[in-house]
Order: sequence, then structure tokens, then C-alpha cells
Amino acid sequence: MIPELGHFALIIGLAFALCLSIVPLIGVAQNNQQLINSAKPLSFGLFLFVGISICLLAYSFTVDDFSVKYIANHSNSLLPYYFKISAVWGGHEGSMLFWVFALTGWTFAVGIFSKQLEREFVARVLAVMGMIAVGFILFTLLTSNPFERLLPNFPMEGRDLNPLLQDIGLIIHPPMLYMGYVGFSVAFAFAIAALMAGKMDAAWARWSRPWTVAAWSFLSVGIALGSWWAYYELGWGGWWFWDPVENVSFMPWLAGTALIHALAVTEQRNTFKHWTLLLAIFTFSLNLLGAFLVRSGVITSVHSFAVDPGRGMYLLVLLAIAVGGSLTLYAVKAANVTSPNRFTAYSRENTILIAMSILITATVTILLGTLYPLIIDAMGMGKISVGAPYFNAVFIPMMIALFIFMGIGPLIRWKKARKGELSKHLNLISIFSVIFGAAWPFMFAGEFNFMVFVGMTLGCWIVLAVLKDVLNHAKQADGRWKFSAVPLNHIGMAVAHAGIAVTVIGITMVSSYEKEINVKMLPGENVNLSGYTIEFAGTKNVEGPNYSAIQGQINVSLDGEFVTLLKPEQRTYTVESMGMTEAGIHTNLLRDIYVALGDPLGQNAWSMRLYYKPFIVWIWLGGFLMAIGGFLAILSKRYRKRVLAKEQKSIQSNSVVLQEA
Amino acid sequence: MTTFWLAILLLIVIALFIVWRIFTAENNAIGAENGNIRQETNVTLYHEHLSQLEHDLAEGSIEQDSFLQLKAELDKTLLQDANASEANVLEPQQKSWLWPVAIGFSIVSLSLYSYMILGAYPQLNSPAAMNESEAHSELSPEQMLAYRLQQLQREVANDPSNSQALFSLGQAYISVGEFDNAVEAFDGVIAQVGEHAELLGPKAQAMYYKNNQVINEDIQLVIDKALALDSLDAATNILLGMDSFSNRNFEKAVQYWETVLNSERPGISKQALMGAVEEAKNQLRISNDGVTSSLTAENVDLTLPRLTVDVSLAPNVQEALMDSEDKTVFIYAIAAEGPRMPLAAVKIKASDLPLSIVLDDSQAMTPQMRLSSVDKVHIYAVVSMQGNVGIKPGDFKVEVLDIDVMEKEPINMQISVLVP
Repeated sequence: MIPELGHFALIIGLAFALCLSIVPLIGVAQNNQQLINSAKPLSFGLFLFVGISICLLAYSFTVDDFSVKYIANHSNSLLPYYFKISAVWGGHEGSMLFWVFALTGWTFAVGIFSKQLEREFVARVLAVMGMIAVGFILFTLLTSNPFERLLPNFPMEGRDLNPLLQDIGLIIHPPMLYMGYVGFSVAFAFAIAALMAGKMDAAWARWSRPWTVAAWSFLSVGIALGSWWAYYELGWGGWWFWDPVENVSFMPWLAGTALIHALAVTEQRNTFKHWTLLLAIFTFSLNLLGAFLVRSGVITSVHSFAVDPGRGMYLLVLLAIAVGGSLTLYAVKAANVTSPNRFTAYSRENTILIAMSILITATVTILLGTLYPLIIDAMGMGKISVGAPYFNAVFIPMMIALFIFMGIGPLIRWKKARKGELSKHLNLISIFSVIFGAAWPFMFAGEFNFMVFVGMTLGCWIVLAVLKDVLNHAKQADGRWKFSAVPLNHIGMAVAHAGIAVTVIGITMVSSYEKEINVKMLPGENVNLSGYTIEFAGTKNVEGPNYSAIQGQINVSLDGEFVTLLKPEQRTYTVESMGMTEAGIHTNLLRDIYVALGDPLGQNAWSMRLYYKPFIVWIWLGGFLMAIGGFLAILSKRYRKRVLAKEQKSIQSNSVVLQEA
Repeated sequence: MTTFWLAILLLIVIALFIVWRIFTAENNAIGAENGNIRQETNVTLYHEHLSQLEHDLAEGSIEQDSFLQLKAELDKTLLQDANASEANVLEPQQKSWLWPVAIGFSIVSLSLYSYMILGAYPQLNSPAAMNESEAHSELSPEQMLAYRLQQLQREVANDPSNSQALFSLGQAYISVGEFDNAVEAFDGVIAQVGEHAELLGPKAQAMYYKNNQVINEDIQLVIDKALALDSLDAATNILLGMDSFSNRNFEKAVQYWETVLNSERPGISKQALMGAVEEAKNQLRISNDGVTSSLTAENVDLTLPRLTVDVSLAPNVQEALMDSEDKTVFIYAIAAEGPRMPLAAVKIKASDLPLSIVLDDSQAMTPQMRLSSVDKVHIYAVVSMQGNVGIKPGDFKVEVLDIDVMEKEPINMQISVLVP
């Protein structure tokens, strides 16, 4: 009975979404305040009923209701309760429901936190969100219904959740990622609402900035968590594989990064409006394309769910409507958007323009590398594989160029930089960065390494540039320092840029200095790994709630001092009788020691993979710093400022300005 | 059923209440009360940007003429935005009750209609489902079995041509000890879909249990048939293993069960089998009465062969394998003369390479055929694309011929040759 109620609640949610996508627009067209205001209760109803629906699904998971097909396929009565709940988004159907839930959450949030926005505009934004919700709820109900039943004959026991997904990383990684994906649909809705109204002014940019930055921050955390999960759960120590599914999360991130910068320029300088509109549409389309690639079975990987051409077809149609509709609207409404403001080559506008161009080029490059094998395959021209060599070869040079401009951007002036001013800011920083970058490989490894030189120089360059920028803002005209004078959004930018630098340093260090040893070890044997002594002390059998495992006992010591005991496991999950490798990892800021059990080789000997990974945790720390920077920027009080009486007055004085102008 | 419809009604009432708030609520206004908020925001931004410019000018970080240029641009922007953002003045209108009623009506009718099409409420009526959640947790394993049996019987009675259900029914009969019925069920399936090893194996199992766990001629006949169709059939090999075990032929039992384990067939309980193999090995150790068997040798005997092989991948092979899934690599030794059955074999993953491997008697497949029983061997290392034994076109391999089994030096093998 409970799953049926969940099903019914989701259907009511669809009905609310339909009303939300129509009624407020009628209100705007007829100038009817009651209908415009109906957007808020309708978005609340949408959120509430989808929320009820997902809660009832989670409840059915906890009571092991295997008459629900989705639960029978993704749970088991032996599964610990927290995995039962995370299994709600562990498969295709449930994750679609979660996606819809996140979408309605964002919609409702827009309804609540938009007290300082123009009401017609909010009504349009919510209506567009309603349309997106209609598309996704219909998709869920018709092609991927998590409430489908196995009645009257249902299994006594569920098939269990894929062991790869029974992990803390899975509990938090997809929700963050979906919050990011779905968040960009808010940016899309703001752009479409602006196009509908034909008003693409500074206010519009100011209003959409916090939402876009929030989506970007969630996506950053989501991607970082996914990479971390792959690192410790897949057992071969890699943190990024250029897997198509990783790529489809990375492309919206790159495009979204360009979007938040375009928005900044639109707000500050009233230009780049076309960039902003197109990037909002492009980012959202990339999310839809990602959903299509992952969920249609076109590509296969850890993440791809069932192969179902019907689903793929539906998503393609949705993609076509969204892209076609929004670009048509753009063509009709944005033709006469112009900006009177000009800028020179030496200006912040131009630096951001170059950076955005690089980001878009990188996005398209990845898009090509991801889609090209699929197209070739679909046309029956054989199978090609585009792997890490391609992506690294094209991506790294682009990023080097991007990072150079990332250092310049915060320090250069808008419109036209004064001669000599930039070099005044940057000379010392550049010289120091180059020296630091050159000295680092000698200090760390005793010999020069070009890639390390480049990476450390750029990392240092980005950090020093934002530091310099913060200092510039803190320094008062009378020479005193006043850090409270630095706006929070500026600190957010600095933290996010520093996050990129931290990630760059992590990537540089781990790709240049990681050590890998594959070895057969007998109990009592030692291996030396980058100065650490790794001793295999034997194995023991351990029992988990739904698996049994052989656990290696590995003593790690450095210069005779005991560091830690690592316990890598080879697990066999009872229900799926599937083997899983659980790595043993010891982390600190400077390095990871990573041990994975391979196969038993007889006579108590085991093949073992040992890795020494310097600075690897920096890669994810950087991701979290980016997100923290984003959230700091959102907290900036300029996004919450009420129009004060003082400013009311200034409007009058302003009309004088307008007459003069 | 009544509870269900009451709950549906409750959801509808909540929905209608939310819709009603469109009409009643005082403060559900979205956006600002002030109708001219857009203009004000633009003006606020203008002042924000202007004060930043003035600040920069005062600090001396921009010059007077660029200050004037930037200010002129700000003024122009504001003018442009102000023209575009003329606010619509909302006339305070009488609230109409028509819209909330229309919205409420469409939500309720649309939801109920869609649910009638999509929902599974009719099946909730069927008695099997009524007590699902309660029955579930309280049934003992025996009751669950009986219940499952009933379900299957009903299913087969509804549709006798459902061979899948009939097969499951046969297996359920074995679990409850009704072997005659089980045999009958399997015969029914065979009559429908023909003789297959995966049907003959379970049938032989049922016959074997019925015959008090002794293989007679009839049973042997079924087993032979099954093995002729598929020598790796799981049920048949498990049965043979059980029979060997109960006849205290533990070595044979291990052999049969490991065949099943290595066959990687779906649907077998690996854990149970591994446990059984472990048990058989223990028994073997006990029955050998302290004599160290080849399978459990702990110490390395220097008089026995012990070939160390350093296996690696040639760069071209590594590149070819880079982008595909991890492949299985077999390293095995066969006698230089005589049958081509492997004397010692090791299975690893391509991603584990390079790796040093030891081939010795412990990896022998049968006690009669092991490294120490010959003088010279050929050693092969094969990256198998399909993941099973044998060298097939598309695989990569390397071979070293005529190696003395007592060779102590490590043998270097770099997999480099593509099998045409």
C-alpha cells in the first residue's frame, strides 16, 4: 500500500508541475496578481508531493518491500539500513526520482528566497522550472518508474545493491552531483525568464549570480567526491579516468565556470550578455546530454544504468525541445541586445573573454572525445577508443594557458589597464613563482622535472595573484590595513581560485612522483615503498553484515617507526557472490599509502598492489575549497541587501543624472 | 483497501488545501512588494559600481579620464536598463475563487485519472499481496519455502507453458524433499524446451537424493548425457562432487567443485562451494594422516620443481589493452612431450602485470599430471580476450619451449605476439 501512495504522490506532483508551468505565465500575460502569486503555493505543492513520494520510497526500502521491482533489484534484507536509504538513488529509477526531488527543492527555494526580485520575473522563472519538472517527472513515471510493482508474485529476497555502491562515498556523491546538475537549471530558467521579458539588464545578472554560483559549488563538491570514491573504491589508485560518465559531469562544470564569469561581467560592465544567455542554455543542455548518455545505455561504465532505447529516445526529445525552444527564443528576443560599453585588449573583460574561450574550447574538446567514438560506432565504421592520452594531450596545454590568465584576471583593471600598472602588480609574483616552481622539484626529488616546474609555478602564481588582490583591497588610502573592508564575495573568489591552485598542485605532484609496486608477498615479507617499509603480516577472515572478507594485515613503518596498520580486504558479497577489493589507505596532507590485495597465489602468498601517492588529497581539498569559495560569495550581503530608504532617495537624485546623460 | 483509499483521500485533501491558499493566503506574494524593484536594483548596482570607481580614483589606481569614461558608460547602462525596465503596475484585483477551483479540479482529476492508468492498486486486492509486508517478516524459513511453492504451483497452473516457472517449481520441490514431483517437473520442462545440461543436472540431483544419495545406472545415464552436452555444467559437477565427498574421495570432490568455481557460471553460490572445497581439503589433510599433500604444502621442497616466471607485457600489447576492460592472463606449463594438459596454471589479471609468478606442483590440476612428473615443459603466457582457457585468435601470447622443470633461474616472458 505504501509504495502505491508514493506513486500517487508523484503523480500529484506532476499535476502541480503542469499547473506551475502554465498558470503563472497566464498571470503575467493578463497582469493578474492572484495568478502570478499562485506560483509560490504551486511550487510548494510540487516540492511537498515529490518529497512525500521519495520519503515513501525510502520507507519501503527500510521495510524490505520487495514487491516493488526497484527495491527487489537494489536492496536486500541483510543490507544495513543506511545503505537501504542510499539505495534510493543507487539505481536508475530511484536516482531519477531523486533528481526530480532536487529539482523541486531548487524550485521551492527560488520561490522562498526571491523576496527582493521582481515578481513577474520570479513567476516566469518558476514557470520554466515547472516545465523542466514536467519533463523529468513524466520521464520518471513513463519510462523509469521506481514504484513499478512485482505483483502478485514478488520475490522473497532482494538482489542486493551493487557492492561498489555500498559505500559512504555513494551516500553523498550523487546527491551533491544532482544538486549541481539541477542547480544549473535555475540558471537556465533565469536566462529564459529574462529572454521572455526581453529584459537583460544588470539586475538580472545580479539576481541569477548567487543561484548559479550555488549550483557550481555543489557540482564541484559532487565531482570531487566522485573522484575520491573512484580512488578508494575501485582499487587501482586512479582518481580520474576520462571515463565518458566523468566527462559528462566535467563538461557542465567547465561551461558553468565560464557562465559564472560571464555573469560577473554582465553585472559589472553590462556586456557579455549573449555569452551569459548562451552559456546558461549550453550548460543546461550539457546536463541533459549527460543524462541521455548515462541513462540510455549508449555508453557502458560503472555508472550506466539499464539499456533502454525508449528512455534514450525520450531524453533526446527532451533535449531537442529544450535546446530548440531556448535557442529559438534567443534568436527572436536577443537580436537587439547590444552593449555600448567598449574595452581594450589590456582589460579584465578581455582576460575573462580569453579564459571563457579556453573553457569552452576545452568543453568542446571533451565533448568531441566523448561523442566521437559513439558516432563512429553508430555509423558502423568500427570501434575506436579515445582515452586518457588524447584528453591529457589536448587538455593540459589549454589549462596551462587558462591558469596564466587566471592569475592576471583578478589584478587587471576593467575597460583599460593603465600602462605599467599590471607589471607593477605581477612582476614580483611571476619571478617568485618561477623560482619556487624551479626549486620545488630539487627540494622534493633532488632533480629537475619540467612538468612539476610548470605545475608548481602555476599553482604558486594563482595563489599569489589572488593574495595580492585581497591585499590590494585591504589596503586603505591612508596606508592602514583593513581586512574587513574586503567584500565577502571577493574573498570567495580568492578562495575558489586558490582551490584551483591546490588541485593543480595535487595533480602535478601525484602524476609526477607517484610510485606503484606490484609484488607477490608472503607473510613476514617486507617491501620498500618510497622510504616506507611495508610489511605483510598475514591475513585474517572477517565477516561483515552482508559479506565475508579476507583482510590483509599490513604494517607500515618509516625509519623503524610504526606508522599505521592497513587492512585491505577482498570481499565476497553473499547475495551477488561478487568479489570486491577494498583498499587500505593511510592519508596525510603530504602523501597517501595505498595497499590493495590482489589474488591469492597459493601458500599464503598474495599478489599486492602498493602505491605511494604524494599530495593526492590536495586534489579533493581543492575541490572543497572551490565550493567553500562559492558559498562565501553567496553569503555576501550584497545579495541580501534590501532597498533602503536612503537608496530610495538616491533614485530621485538619479533621475537628474539620467536627464544629464 | 479502505485504509488505502482513505490515505489517497488524505493526499488529495492536502493538495486541495495548498491550492486553496492561492485564494486565501495573505503573504504568498512572490518577489518584492515594491513593483519597481528591477529599476531600484539597477540603480543600486549603479551606485555600487560608481562608489567603487570613486574609491579607485581616490586611491589613485585609475586616472581622471578613465574615471570619466567608466562613469559615462555606467550612466549609459543605467539609462538603457531604466528604459527597458518600466514596471507593469499591477492593479489590485478582486481575488477570484474561479481559478483556485479550476486548478484544484484539474490537479485532482488529472492525478486520479493518471493513477488509474499507471498504478497497481487492482493487484493490491489479490490475497497473496494483501498480507505481503506483515507476512514477510514473520514467516519461518520452512513457511517461506511452502509459500514460495504455493506461489509457483499457482503460476504453473495458470500457465502450464511457462517453462521458467516450471523449472523453479522443480527446484522448489527439491528444497522441500518432494523428489518425485521434482523429477516430473524437470521432465516437463525438458519436454517443452528439449534436453539441455542445465535441466538434466538438476534432474540427476533430484534422482540422486531420491535414491538415498547413491548413483545408480539411471542416474549415471542422465549425468553422462548432461556432461556430453556441457562438461562444465554446474549442477552435474556439484552432484558428482557430493557423491565423491560422501564416498570419502575428497581429492575428486575438490576437483569437481573447483571446476564449477572456475567455470564462473552465473547463479552458483560461490561462498557455499568454497566452504565445501575447504571442508574437503581439511578432510583430505586428516585422511592423509599427517602426510603433507600437494595441495597444502607449506614448505618449499628444493627437490621439487619450482619455476619462477617473470611475466610482463610488451609496450604494444600494453597499449592495445589500455582502453579495454581488464583481461585475464593465463600462465601455464604443459609437458614438452605427451598430452597437452596443463601441469601447472595460474590465472591473473593483465593489470597486475608485470608480476613474478611461481609454477609448482601445488597448481596441478590432477595429482597424476604435475610438474614433477615430467622433465621438460613448454610455458605459455596468454592474454585471453574472452577470459577462458585456450589460445584463440586475437589473444596475445608468448611461449618458452623446452624448459627444464628444475630450472632455478627466473624465466623472462614478455607477452608480445598477437595470435592471428
